[in-house]
Amino acid sequence: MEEEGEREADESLARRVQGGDRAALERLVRRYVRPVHAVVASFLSEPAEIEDAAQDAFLRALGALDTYDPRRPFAPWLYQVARNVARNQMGSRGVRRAESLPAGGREASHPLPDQAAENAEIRDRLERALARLPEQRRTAFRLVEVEGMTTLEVGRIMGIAPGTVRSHVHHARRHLRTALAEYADATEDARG
Amino acid sequence: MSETKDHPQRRDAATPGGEARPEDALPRTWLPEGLPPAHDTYWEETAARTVANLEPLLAARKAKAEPGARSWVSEMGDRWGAAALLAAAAVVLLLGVGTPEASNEPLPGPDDWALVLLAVEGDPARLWAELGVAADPVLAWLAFEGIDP
Repeated sequence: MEEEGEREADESLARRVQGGDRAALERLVRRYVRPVHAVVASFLSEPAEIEDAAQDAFLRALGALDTYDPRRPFAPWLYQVARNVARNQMGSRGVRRAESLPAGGREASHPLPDQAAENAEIRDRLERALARLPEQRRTAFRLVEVEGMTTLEVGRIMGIAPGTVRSHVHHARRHLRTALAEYADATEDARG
Repeated sequence: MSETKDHPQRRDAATPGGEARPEDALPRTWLPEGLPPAHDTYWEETAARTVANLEPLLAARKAKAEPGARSWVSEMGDRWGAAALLAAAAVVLLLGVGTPEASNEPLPGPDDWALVLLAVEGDPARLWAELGVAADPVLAWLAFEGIDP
């Protein structure tokens, strides 16, 4: 997306966007398009909803850019905007609809029908358990475990220390393991 | 996230970037679908679409930020505002107040002077009063002496 060597600070780009600079806007969008989608994906499940919310988050961020202070980090500010948009959208549509998530898609090796059904069931249970997690914990888990971001990246986006991100992810794992204990035992048995 | 037509190149396993997968990590098959990886072309397209959506708002922001880019209407308003205000006031006065209507009664002509003089009984102040001018009696006399009926 963008060469790290020529990376201009977010805050400098945001200041230029405040003055209407299109090139700066393009660079910021390219830099944050995936993180913003990842943040809203921790609230919403339907791809169309995620796309709508992400687009709305960028629109609102640009509309409210005068309220952003370029002396402060840009990423957590954008994260808050995306989070608020996703929360509002989630609130207007009711609770996260884990049951609407299509199962499958991860089985590249074409698992047996029984295994596919069980994986779908596990994911369904996991989504429900994720929905019960505190918001920050759920987002941290989603960004690290599902989207593969580093704790450093996630900490920068969420405006928290990497150690706090690790703590959130650790507690989320424990919660999810407890919620899916029966499957965890089966998995261990299968491994053993 | 779930697999859709929009995301054809979803990863089939989460890969925490550069960090070792810990002991207590959940099995990857349990995890929900992730978004396409960072360098996927999907993000190039999405970013381009997002910027296109933001263009009108950015243009408005630019117009607000740059005084030179203001519309010609507002520029003219600033430069000629005072003159336009005066012109508008004049028009309003003309339309609202209007010009004084011409009197239907003709002013006394030379043939009527004798009657006027009889009516005022030689009083110059009254003469001026007949002509619609409130005059001082002394000044009226002085002025009257200059008139040759």
